[in-house]
Amino acid sequence: MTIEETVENPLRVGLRSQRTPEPNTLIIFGASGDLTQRKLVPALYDLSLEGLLPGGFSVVGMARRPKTHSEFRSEMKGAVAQHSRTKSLQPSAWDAFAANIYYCQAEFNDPGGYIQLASMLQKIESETGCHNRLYYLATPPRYYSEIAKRLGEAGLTASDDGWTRIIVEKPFGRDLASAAELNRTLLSVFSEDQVYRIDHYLGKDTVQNILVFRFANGIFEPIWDRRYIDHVQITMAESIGIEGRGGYYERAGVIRDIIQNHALQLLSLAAMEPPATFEPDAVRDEKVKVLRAVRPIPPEDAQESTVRGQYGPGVISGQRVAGYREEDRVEADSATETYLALRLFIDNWRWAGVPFYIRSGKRLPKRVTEIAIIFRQPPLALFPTTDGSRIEPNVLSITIQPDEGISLNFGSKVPGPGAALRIRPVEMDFRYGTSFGVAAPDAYERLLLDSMLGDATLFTRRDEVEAAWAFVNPITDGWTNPEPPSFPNYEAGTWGPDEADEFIQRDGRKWRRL
Amino acid sequence: MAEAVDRMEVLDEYRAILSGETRRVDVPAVESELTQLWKAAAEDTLEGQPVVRACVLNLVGYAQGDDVAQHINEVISQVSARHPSRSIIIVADPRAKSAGLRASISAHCQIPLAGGRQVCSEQITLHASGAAVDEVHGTVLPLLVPGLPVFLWWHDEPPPDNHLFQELLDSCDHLVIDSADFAPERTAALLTDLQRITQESDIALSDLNWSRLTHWRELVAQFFDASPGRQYLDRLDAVNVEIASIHGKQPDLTEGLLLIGWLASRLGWVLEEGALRPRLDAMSFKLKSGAGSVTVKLTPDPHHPGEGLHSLSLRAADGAVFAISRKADDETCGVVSAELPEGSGYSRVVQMDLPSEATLLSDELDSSGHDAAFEETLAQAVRFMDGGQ
Ligand SMILES: NC(=O)c1ccc[n+]([C@@H]2O[C@H](COP(=O)([O-])OP(=O)(O)OC[C@H]3O[C@@H](n4cnc5c(N)ncnc54)[C@H](OP(=O)(O)O)[C@@H]3O)[C@@H](O)[C@H]2O)c1
Repeated sequence: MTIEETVENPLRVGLRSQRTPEPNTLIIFGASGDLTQRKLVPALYDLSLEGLLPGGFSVVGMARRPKTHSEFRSEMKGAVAQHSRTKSLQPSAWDAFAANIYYCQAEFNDPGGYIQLASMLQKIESETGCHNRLYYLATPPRYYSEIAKRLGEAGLTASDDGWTRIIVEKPFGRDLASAAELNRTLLSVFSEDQVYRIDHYLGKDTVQNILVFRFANGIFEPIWDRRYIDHVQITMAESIGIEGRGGYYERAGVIRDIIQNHALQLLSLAAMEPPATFEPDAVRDEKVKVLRAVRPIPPEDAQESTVRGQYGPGVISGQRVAGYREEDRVEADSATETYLALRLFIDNWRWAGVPFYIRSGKRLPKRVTEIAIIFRQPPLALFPTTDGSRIEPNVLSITIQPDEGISLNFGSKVPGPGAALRIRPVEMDFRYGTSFGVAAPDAYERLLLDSMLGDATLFTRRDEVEAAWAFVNPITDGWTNPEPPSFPNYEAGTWGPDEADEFIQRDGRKWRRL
Repeated sequence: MAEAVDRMEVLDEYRAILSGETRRVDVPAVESELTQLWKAAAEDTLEGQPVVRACVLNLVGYAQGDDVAQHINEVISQVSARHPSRSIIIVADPRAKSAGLRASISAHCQIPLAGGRQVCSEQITLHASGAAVDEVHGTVLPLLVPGLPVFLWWHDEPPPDNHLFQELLDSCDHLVIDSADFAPERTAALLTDLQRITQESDIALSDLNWSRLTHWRELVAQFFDASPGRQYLDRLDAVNVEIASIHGKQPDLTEGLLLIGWLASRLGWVLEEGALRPRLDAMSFKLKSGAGSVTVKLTPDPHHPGEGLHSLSLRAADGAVFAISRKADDETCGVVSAELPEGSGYSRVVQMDLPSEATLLSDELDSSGHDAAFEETLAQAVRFMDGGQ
């Protein structure tokens, strides 16, 4: 087979990207929102500047407040000038991009709005000759179902000769029942292959690198199991607080904000079996198998198997910061957790008996996301240490942010004579930024492009979301009955409550110092 | 006490190298001096964060004269953040009467991420003069870091029968040249020689002039990724290319011929014998395509303010036109447009920064082997240059 036969466009041979999306229209619901302004439109502009968007690409923004197309364009211009990855706004590039931005004013529950939208799409599509549509739900989550239903009623969920897809933002439900309900509603008007559930963590280059690292290097897979691994620690620490999103956070807590989605995604990637191919469903099949094999933590064990924390006032990088209960739109006696540590087991052949410790929190000393694989000690203490202590175990750590890289700790002899060997841990360190000093593209750029191309690998499938909720749900149920811990129980700028240290020490282990 | 003072002096000396100074060393001692340098750097705790030495490839640069060497040095320093390497620069003065060889070591250090560690690449500069030039490979070869790819960047017209060039080729995986720097009247012969080298050996050839086309190729390919553009790809019947000066010289058609060569090799267009009399200024000729023939026109435009290729238009029999051109008032942007007979079409503005030499080199250092699309392109372009002989 020649190379030509494998690609449709012979001019693509040897080029890095294998195709550009077909001309399409992106319809953003919630077009004046924070996400649209900070992430979506800047990402689209950057993609367009790099020539990665197709000719014949348009944006229709939909929101409640009345404004003209040109008012909307100039709002977006301000957003791009402030948030684009490329340094300064290129006036001619902006003008060409903005010419294809439109605004549609409507209440999400008003059927008239969708008729108006349909006629706008018809007009745009008559110019490009293409009928591909991508909806983006960038609205408060309570509108997701409403919008999907209205799109269905208006006959906008499929077009005659083109594709129609819908991107759904996080949070996807607030428990298993609401997530399942949302899935049902979406799937009553769309088919699963039209639905793209976003977890922007998966759009990060480094998260994708976990798979490359595991499956493109022959040396790690053979030791990636219970025979060699003592335990795994996943840390997702943030130094920021809730950034004015008190209303949202009060109802979410770290378990819904981070654990149910991002942390369980990292867990799946670190623990999954090699997929047969790198096709979207092959990868997602393996990921969901991990989630299904996670041993449930029933409500009655929720207290025992988790440690909750909430930050009080403290100091971070020399700055005094307020406690959670002092934040805007947070109850003065709030019981919402801003820190969580938990231990789980994956009951399958590879991982039986290996504990996975996950911790995540706000207002911790620094921002760091890491997966650490802690290997077992050698079977025999061949080298007595001078002070009788045990040699440190080997640790392989994959850092995802901020300084992405991989490092391996191992013991080495300290130079010098003497009967008792002195062994010290040394670190072999690989930093992506060191070997490939380039800025990675923004996660939203990658995910927007993938959804236009119809590649769902980095999006969460229905069964994945539900499996993740099925794990989280009994835990939150278990928390509702007994008295919540006496909050606040950790100072901002520290590594969480003392109970979290005791929690892991009970198993004879300790948290990695990061 | 005296020992401590000595140690401080040694440390100071190495710190000076890491902060950009060059240190002359004895030729046989190059490797041991570098070892000393990294040892001192690892022990140097005064500056807080230790430096990290990183190396993902060997980069051997050849320069005639100090000015070119200085230029190469600057480019390597710019690519070293992305491609930390051991670089060996040969500064040759073959016409000098007496033979001589001197060596010096230096380092390129960067902090790739804010707050991160300092990462350093090492550089060895070998000044060879007179008869020593021909033998300098004997010094270079033992200095290559084993197990890592070797890139030879020949910053000049490569002389196929030159002894040093041949010897260095024998030990390298990639040869990097820039055909924009060749004298136009010799380009065809030189590229033919290079083509032969890649056919007869495992060496991959990289031409920075081809890298200049990457973004153009990407934009051209986009026209035909999907319908309605896709259906015109097999019906193209005219290609027009306009070229401005590059490197301040007379406009050179090579870049344009590579672009046409690429289209021809990908779309199966062939040059019929005798259809073309090669010229160094404007060129116009016909190629045979599946659907008939394609008229090709290359026009140099020395008055255009830009550099190199500045516009391309592709026309299909039915009147569809696909065009890319740099904006005259803003060279960093280009207009990409399609006009289709059914009345649809579009025009957009994309970024088209002129890539620096460091960017081009860096792209080539990313490649890991033969670039089949380039080699097929080159075969076509060479035929256009020598009239299909
Ligand atoms: N912001 C982030 O960084 C971020 C990060 C991850 C995920 N998310 C998710 O993304 C979604 C959007 O977040 P956001 O922060 O951008 O929200 P936001 O700032 O509150 O924006 C809400 C948008 O929805 C529109 N809207 C609200 N009610 C409407 C109605 N009844 N009819 C028509 N339009 C209505 C608003 O239009 P008007 O202005 O005209 O009222 C506004 O454009 C949320 O689900 C959030 O969880 C956000």
